[in-house]
Amino acid sequence: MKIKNKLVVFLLLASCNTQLDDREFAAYVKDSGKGLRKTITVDQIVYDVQYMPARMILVQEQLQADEKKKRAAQLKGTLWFTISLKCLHSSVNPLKYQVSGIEEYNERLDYFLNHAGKNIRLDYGTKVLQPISYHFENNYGLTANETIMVGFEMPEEEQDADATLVFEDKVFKNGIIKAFFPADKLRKANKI
Amino acid sequence: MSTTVNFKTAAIAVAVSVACSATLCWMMKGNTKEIVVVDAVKLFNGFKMKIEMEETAAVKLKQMNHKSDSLGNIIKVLQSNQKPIDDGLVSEYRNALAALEAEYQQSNRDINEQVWKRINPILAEFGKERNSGVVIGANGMGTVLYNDPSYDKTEEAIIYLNRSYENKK
Repeated sequence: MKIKNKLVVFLLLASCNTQLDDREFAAYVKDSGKGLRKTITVDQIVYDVQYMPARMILVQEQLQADEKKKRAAQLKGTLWFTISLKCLHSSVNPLKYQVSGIEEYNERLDYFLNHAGKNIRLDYGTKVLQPISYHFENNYGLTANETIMVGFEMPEEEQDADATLVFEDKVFKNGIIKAFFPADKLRKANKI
Repeated sequence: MSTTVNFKTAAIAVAVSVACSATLCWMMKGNTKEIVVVDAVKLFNGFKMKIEMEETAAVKLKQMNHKSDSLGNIIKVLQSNQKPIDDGLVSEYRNALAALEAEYQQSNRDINEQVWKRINPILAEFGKERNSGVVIGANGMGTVLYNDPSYDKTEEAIIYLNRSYENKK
C-alpha cells in the first residue's frame, strides 16, 4: 500500500515537471488561450500581438548549442513582442489595402520601416518603456500580413509585472491599440 | 358521480390554463429585449482612448503655442519700445498662428473620427452581450426627449468600453 502511494506521488510530481519540447512550446506560446497572444480588430485591420519569450526566439533562430547560450545571454533582461497586421476580410497586403497609388504605398512603407517605433511603447508595471530595438520585416507587399518585431529592456527594479503593449498606428488611423499580458502568464512562459 | 367528473374536468382545465399562461409568460419574457439609453457625450468624454489621444495631441499643440507666443511677445516688446518690426517676423508670427489653428482643427477631427471608429463596434458588442434590442445614443440634441433613469446605462457602457480598450476583458 505504501509503495502504491509513493508511486502515485512520484507520477504526479513527474507529470508536473514535464518539459515541453520546442514544437510544443511554440504551440503553447501561439495559443491565444494561454494569454501570450492578443488579437485586436479595428475597422478592417487585425492586429495580432504576440509575446516572444527568449526560448521562442531561440527556437525560431535555430541556432547551434554554443550560439544558443550566447544568444540567451543577450536576450536576458529583455522583453520581445511581434505585431502582425493583416486585413480582416481580404488577403491583400495591408500596405496595399485601399491604397491610392505608389506614393501612398511608399509613405506607408516608410512609416513602418522608419517611424512606427516612435509610436510603440510598453507599459510595464509602473514604468513606461520605449523600444530598444525595432524591426519591420519588409515583405515587399507579397504576403497577406506584415510583421513588426519590437524589444524592450526590463527595468532592474521591476522584473515581474503586468505588461501592456501600446501602439498608435498612424497609417490606418485606428486610434491606440493595447494588448495586455498579465505578469503570471509572462512568468509562466519564461519558466517553461 | 357526475360531481366527481365535473371536479376532475375543472381541475384539468385550471391546470391546463395555468400551464398555458406560464408558457406564454416564459415565451414573452424570452422575446422581450430591453431598450438601453446611453449618453453619447458622456461616453465619448469618458473613453480612455480619447483622453490619452488628447494628452498626446496637447504636447504638440503646447509646443506650437509656445512658438507663436514667443513671436507675439517679441512683436509686443518691439511695439512698446517703438522700434521697427521686421515684415519677416510678422509673417512668421501669422504663419505660426495659422499652423497652430490648423493643427488644432486636424487633431480634433482625427480624434473624433478614430474614437467613434472604436466606440461603435464595442457598443454593438455591449448591446449584444446584454441582449438589448436597441441601444439609443442620446446626444442632447433632442433625439431622446425623455427616458426613465432606469434605461440609462451610460456608466455601464463606459466601464465596458474602457475594459475592452484596455484589452483586459
